[in-house]
Amino acid sequence: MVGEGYLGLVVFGIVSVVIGVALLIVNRLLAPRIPDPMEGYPYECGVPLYDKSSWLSIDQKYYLLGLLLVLFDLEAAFVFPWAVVYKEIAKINAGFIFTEMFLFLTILIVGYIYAWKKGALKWQ
Amino acid sequence: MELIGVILGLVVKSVIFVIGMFLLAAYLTLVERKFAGHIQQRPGPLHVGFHGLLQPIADALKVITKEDLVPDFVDKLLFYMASLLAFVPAIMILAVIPFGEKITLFGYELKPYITDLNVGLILALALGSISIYGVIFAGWASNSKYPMIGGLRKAAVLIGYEVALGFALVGPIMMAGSFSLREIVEAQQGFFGAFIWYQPIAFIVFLFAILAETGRTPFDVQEAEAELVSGYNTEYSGMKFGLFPLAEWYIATFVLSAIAVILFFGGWNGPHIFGPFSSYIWFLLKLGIVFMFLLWVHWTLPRYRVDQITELAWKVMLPLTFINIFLTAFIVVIKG
Repeated sequence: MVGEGYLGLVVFGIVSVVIGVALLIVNRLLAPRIPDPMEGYPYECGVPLYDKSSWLSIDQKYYLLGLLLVLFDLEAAFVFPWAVVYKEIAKINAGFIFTEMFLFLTILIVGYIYAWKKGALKWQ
Repeated sequence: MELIGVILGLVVKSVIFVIGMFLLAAYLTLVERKFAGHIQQRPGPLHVGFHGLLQPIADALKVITKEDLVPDFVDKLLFYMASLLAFVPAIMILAVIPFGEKITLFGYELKPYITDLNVGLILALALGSISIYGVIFAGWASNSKYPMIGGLRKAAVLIGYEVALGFALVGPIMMAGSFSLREIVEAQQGFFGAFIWYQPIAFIVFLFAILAETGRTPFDVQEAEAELVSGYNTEYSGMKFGLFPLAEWYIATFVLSAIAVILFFGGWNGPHIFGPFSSYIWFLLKLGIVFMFLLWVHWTLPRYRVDQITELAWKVMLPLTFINIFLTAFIVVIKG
């Protein structure tokens, strides 16, 4: 049957979600509830909070790295299919599959060196 | 009717796998605590049961009867979802891991895995990454400073190791010519057939990625108990909290060590010296060694800074994987 393997995966996923939720619910049912005026307070050093929310704009230091991650992960997705068929095709025409992919990888590496030289890999 | 039977069988098998993994993870906590204790020259858990053998059960009871606190300012939906999001994908990797060969017992054919997909390795990679979002969501949803910093640090680590991990896996895939974990194991016959002999660079990068993904010590910046209280799970309590270390430190470490064994150490291949269960015993033996190695690293090394981790990943590990792809391309052609 087509897709039988994925049926197993879906069933396994559902079972693990159900067991995870069940654990949370059991905890909710068993646990004592002793309200305390300060129990809902975020963890801090003990003095009243200056600002109650921490959802502020923060200057995170890896914006360029994040962009590069998206790019390079996409490239990795292109390399995977090649890696799977490499062994088979290398038996027939090793030169062809080798050069074809390494043209692609060379362009990738040139881009990588460019990013490095521009300082995108540094923690800014 | 037939479909219902198949689904029922799968449900039973899945429940056995999930519960089994739970009990195993509970006892892995004891293994880790004993191991850490002896590394630091103290006995570890000692009083609950013989040498702490009942400690995991006591811990489980304690965590499940703790008050289920939800702080006032949190995003409630994400707050609950985060612990599930860390736990479910981590345990779902288990579905594609083959623990041994098929065996026939009392006329039934038992398969020691849930499914054998031809994209198994990619799936494991994807689920492993999704489980990291649980940590990042937990940090954000808590709406408190320490968890927030912990979550953002984990995001930075993810950005670092993810690319190197993807390219590191290309080497073993080229050697085996398949994504299916079962076929990768079958491609490594004999002692010198194991991919570790051809892929030492990929193994080092993979080890780095496992440590970063499971948040173990050289790269445990998201918890960093000396700096961030308890990091991303500071605001959590009860079972919501319990799922995080269970998922990250035990289930994820266990399944990723299993994948390391499959990719580099020949999976269940080994001399048939233990009778019909030989393949299982070999697999668990190798798995245990890799797992203990990770624990050893965790309890020995000091912590990296988060910017050092990303720079290590991008400037050392990524070039290494490129070199590895080149070398592997030659090795495959020469080996034929």
